[in-house]
Amino acid sequence: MDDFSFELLDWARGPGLEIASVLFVLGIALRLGEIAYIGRKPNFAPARGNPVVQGIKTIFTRTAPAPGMVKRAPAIHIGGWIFHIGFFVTILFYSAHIRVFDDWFEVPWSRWPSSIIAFVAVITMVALIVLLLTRIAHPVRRKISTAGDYAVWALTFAPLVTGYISAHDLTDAPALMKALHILSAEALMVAFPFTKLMHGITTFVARYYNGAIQGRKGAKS
Amino acid sequence: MTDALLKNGIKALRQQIDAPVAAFFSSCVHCGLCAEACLFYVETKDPRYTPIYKLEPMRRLWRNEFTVVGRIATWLGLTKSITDDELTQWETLVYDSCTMCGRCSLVCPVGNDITYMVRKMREGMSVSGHAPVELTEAAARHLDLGSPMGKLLPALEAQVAHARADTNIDITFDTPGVDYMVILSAQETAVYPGVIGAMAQLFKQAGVTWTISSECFEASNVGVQIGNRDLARTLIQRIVDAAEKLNVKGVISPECGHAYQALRWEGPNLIGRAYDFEVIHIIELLDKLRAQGRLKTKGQFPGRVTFHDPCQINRRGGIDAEPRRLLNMVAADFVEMEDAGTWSWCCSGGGGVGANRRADALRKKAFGRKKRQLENTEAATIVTMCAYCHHTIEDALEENNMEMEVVSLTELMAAYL
Amino acid sequence: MELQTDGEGFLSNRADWTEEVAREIASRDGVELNELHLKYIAEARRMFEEGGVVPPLRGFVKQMGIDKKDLYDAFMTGPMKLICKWGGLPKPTGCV
Repeated sequence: MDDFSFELLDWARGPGLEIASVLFVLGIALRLGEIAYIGRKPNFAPARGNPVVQGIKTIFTRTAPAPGMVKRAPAIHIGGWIFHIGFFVTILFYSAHIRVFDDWFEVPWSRWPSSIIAFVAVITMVALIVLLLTRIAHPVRRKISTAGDYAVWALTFAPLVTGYISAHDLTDAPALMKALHILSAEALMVAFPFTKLMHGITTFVARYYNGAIQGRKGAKS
Repeated sequence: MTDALLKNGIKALRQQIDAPVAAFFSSCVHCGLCAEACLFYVETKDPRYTPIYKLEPMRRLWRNEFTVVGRIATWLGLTKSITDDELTQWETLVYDSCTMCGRCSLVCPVGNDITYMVRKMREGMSVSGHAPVELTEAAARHLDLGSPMGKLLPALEAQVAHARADTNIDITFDTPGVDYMVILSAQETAVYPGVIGAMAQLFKQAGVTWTISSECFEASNVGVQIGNRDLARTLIQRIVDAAEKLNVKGVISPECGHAYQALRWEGPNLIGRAYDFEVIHIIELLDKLRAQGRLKTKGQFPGRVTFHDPCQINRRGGIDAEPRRLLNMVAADFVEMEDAGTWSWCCSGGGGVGANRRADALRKKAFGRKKRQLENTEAATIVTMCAYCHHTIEDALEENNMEMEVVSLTELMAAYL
Repeated sequence: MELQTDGEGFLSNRADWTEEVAREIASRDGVELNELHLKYIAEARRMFEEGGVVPPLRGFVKQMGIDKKDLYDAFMTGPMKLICKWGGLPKPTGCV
């Protein structure tokens, strides 16, 4: 059992991570390539505003909720915000993760105390559970949800929960837990380009287009 | 027969898929926030009216044919292609419960322009024979007789004669070399012709020369509503030909929402080149004349007024401050409705919904939001800059026993010269 | 009576219209025309001659100085469509 755990951990840290990273990068390149390949037609309508400027502006401004929308859908907005910020905080500022980054980049990076990271991880998981509940309970979200949405939810939840268990030594098999944590993160990386997780990148393209389409007309976005 | 239609429809839809569409579908996280922005969802709470759901067949076509994974899955026989039954089901979602108002496109957190995609989805729907009958009939009338309401030249000539008599201003047909060629929506020619005399008075004061082409005076474009590029292009080409024949500096896009969208924004792309003339919306022009000091008013409207923003002119057209600057010249007691401006709610009749009798009950229900907002203003008069909004609101006021009147902004301005 | 009509029973040629024709078309719809019907029809025909378009319901009641309800009382459903059909005018159409 222990041998297996260590072998798995070694594999996850070594070849597993390499394979996942390659698929992650190539997958993203492929998906962006698909979009670029389709292209779009030139626009002959004389512009009333500046499409490029507004496109770039919208990439940022769309991060803020539209007026009145937080009130209309509080769980999705607040849950969504907490989840996104929490997820990145746990990835980027947890000391064990930073040690991995250091192997690659050697950049000075802020390490947050693990007690804070633990707290962030817990509220991030709570936010994810709330988002899952709204997906099941809200008629609109239930109607438009696909198997992929639930699979992506599980893929996102898995590294958080395995990471938490691993960091707090909550089991008798720390090596196995750590291996599972790394593998779950690698599963997330591999799934990223081929599921809605890809929005993490294409949203910037989408927001740009949205802003540019409206901006050309001198309309707000 | 159906098979061939379906095949052509799918082909038309396929041609509509471009990089923005691919980026939008790639980004959707199924959060459902677009529903909260949709008039039809918020007034009915029917989850089928969730904007992104209205595009489901188009999303599958994109995934199956425009992504590598989708192509492999299709090759392995793992995907479902679009069926005629499915499009029949989607017809009511794409045409009855969407006015292409554009609110969903503004709230989408990942930035999807859903309205842009509904416009494209309609291309596939209409070509595959899934458009509302009233729109196909209007399309045939427009193509054969010159307007969605049939042959309107005699009516226009009669209305121009009335306007000449009322204003003592000579209004001409087919005068070459003037500043602007005026076109009108059929709704104006047939129902609200007062705008003709109003323009005559405004342009006389401002020293703007203008004419009407007897060959093409129709501004509306059912091709844009139904989603048929070929038809839309033909109708735009008629305006372009008339304007270039008369050698005018510009064409005035009248108080009609989709006409502005069609002529100003889609038209050059439909015909594949920029025009030789400028296209300006009547309200944009009046505001420009105001800024140049060529439009001066005296007196003010006695009662409280509010303003309804036509979606295609403000939210999708960017004309937001102009009508307000004009209105403030002539209305002492102008109050804004809740959510006014960019975030205004649709009158419920745009995008072909108002012409679609099957959608009547739904449209009446959807008006609920505007009704409450109008009542909250305690205004007696609603000013707007789209003849179809005007018509839709006027009908709805009657249906709801509301004692308010609707006024065209152009006509209101002319009343205070 | 032999009448040239379209599929919906609208008269093909406006010049063929007479009061007798109106009575015949209405009877095919199961209605016996009365003086009030004929008055509305005559007014609508006059407005069509003058303006070149079938007057929309709102414009029609305004010009006639009556209430919409009066028209619905006289025609039961879709007054303008019946006025046009029985009056030998084109079927009312709408903008989009």
